Amino acid sequence: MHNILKLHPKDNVAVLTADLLKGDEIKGSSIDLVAEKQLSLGDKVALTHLPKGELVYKYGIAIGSTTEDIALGGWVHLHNMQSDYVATYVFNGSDKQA
Amino acid sequence: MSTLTNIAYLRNDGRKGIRNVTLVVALVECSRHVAEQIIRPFEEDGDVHLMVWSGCYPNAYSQRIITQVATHANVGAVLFVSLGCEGMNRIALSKAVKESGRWMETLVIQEQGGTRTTIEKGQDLIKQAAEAKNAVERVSMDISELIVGTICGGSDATSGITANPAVGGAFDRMIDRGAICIFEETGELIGCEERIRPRAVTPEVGDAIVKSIHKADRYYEKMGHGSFAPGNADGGLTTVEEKSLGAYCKSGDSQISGVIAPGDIPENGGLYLMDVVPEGDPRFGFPNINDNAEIMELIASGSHVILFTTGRGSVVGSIVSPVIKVCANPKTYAALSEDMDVNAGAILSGEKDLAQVSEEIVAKVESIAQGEQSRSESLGHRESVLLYKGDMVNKTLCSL
Repeated sequence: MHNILKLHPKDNVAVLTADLLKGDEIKGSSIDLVAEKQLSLGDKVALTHLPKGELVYKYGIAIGSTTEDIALGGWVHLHNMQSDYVATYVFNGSDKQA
Repeated sequence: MSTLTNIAYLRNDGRKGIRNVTLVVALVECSRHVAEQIIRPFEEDGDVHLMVWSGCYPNAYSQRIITQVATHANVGAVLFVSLGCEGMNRIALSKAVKESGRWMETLVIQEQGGTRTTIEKGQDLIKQAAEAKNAVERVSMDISELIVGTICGGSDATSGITANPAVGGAFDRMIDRGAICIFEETGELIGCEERIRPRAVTPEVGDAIVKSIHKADRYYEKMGHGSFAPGNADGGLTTVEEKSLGAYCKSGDSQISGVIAPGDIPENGGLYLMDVVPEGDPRFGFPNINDNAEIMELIASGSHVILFTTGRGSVVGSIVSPVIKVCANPKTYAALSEDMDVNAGAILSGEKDLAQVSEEIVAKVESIAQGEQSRSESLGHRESVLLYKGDMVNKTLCSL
């Protein structure tokens, strides 16, 4: 069963529809990857190698830019991308903070 | 024509309500305790609601919101509770409500002899109000006379995949039948400007939409903080643009008929964007400090019901208009099901598709208009938040 959604053909990240453990298969119609770490429903993973400074596309629209290189299948979140508008605020120790 | 209910409450201005609330308004924090005690014996009934305006300094925006909420079609009677010396203009407020034809009274604590006598007098008045408002004529109401607002709260990465597009589909279906639908929070459309523009009914409305989003971006930049809470990041959202795109899905695919300010009530069916950010330099802090401040503005613009999408799991309701919870995340639904009206997470587990959930939302709006209580209503949620804001331009751009 597929456990990932690519929301728009232009997207370079996809969204998980289930929680995964490290090493679990990430499976979509043309996607076959392995989870690099434990991941949660709603997390994003890279569908291609994303160099530093690359625009990240979801829903076919840029949702920000990468701040470091991200490997194919890598988790994409606060530790490696940022908004091109307003900085994202999180608590110190927020469980998804890098 | 598509009849929504046969037991709507007809108001003097011709608008129709799906609830018949007695609204008690404390006009300053100093009269809150007295107002709270007045409604205490009636809390079980569930239709006597408290609104508090805490501030003592007057504010044009707040006065307009109180006026619009107190004359909302879901409100049958109004009791203002004043200390006597506060800045809110009770004379103008009571005049506006009186002109609307509703039962209304004002109690001034400094003229009533203090706390206990005002509470006793107030409780007698609530009983009189009940008799007056129950005499109102019950009539049939078409879905084209319905106003529906939407908001998202406690968003996570599932919100933009399940509940928000499902509400968008419900909006499209209700707009096709003539309803007025309102989406808002221009700060949560940052990044979507050029995608929204072509949906405007005229180029002028398109310009107004883009301008309102740029204004929100500038406002948030000055405040140093956008519409993004730490829980959003824990839920898998990374940036405000990503949150925005998810939030934007709530608006569906219909043409956008106009841009309104909080308190403007659209007259014709269609989809409207509410611009919640004041004009000029930031004053009085963030445009909307929490979800209930946004809900209050949607109600001030006439919303009979609010569709509230949540991924992380908000539990709030509201005074005056029922809040319907559409839960985006199947895990949250399992954990907080008593608070949720619709399980849009069923889309992720494959039990339902998007269209089925949209239909389910429309059916829920219909049954709640016919008198069924939403979960937050039956659990007693009656939150209300009213803010200070800078000048809002009355700007209804309705071209239809």
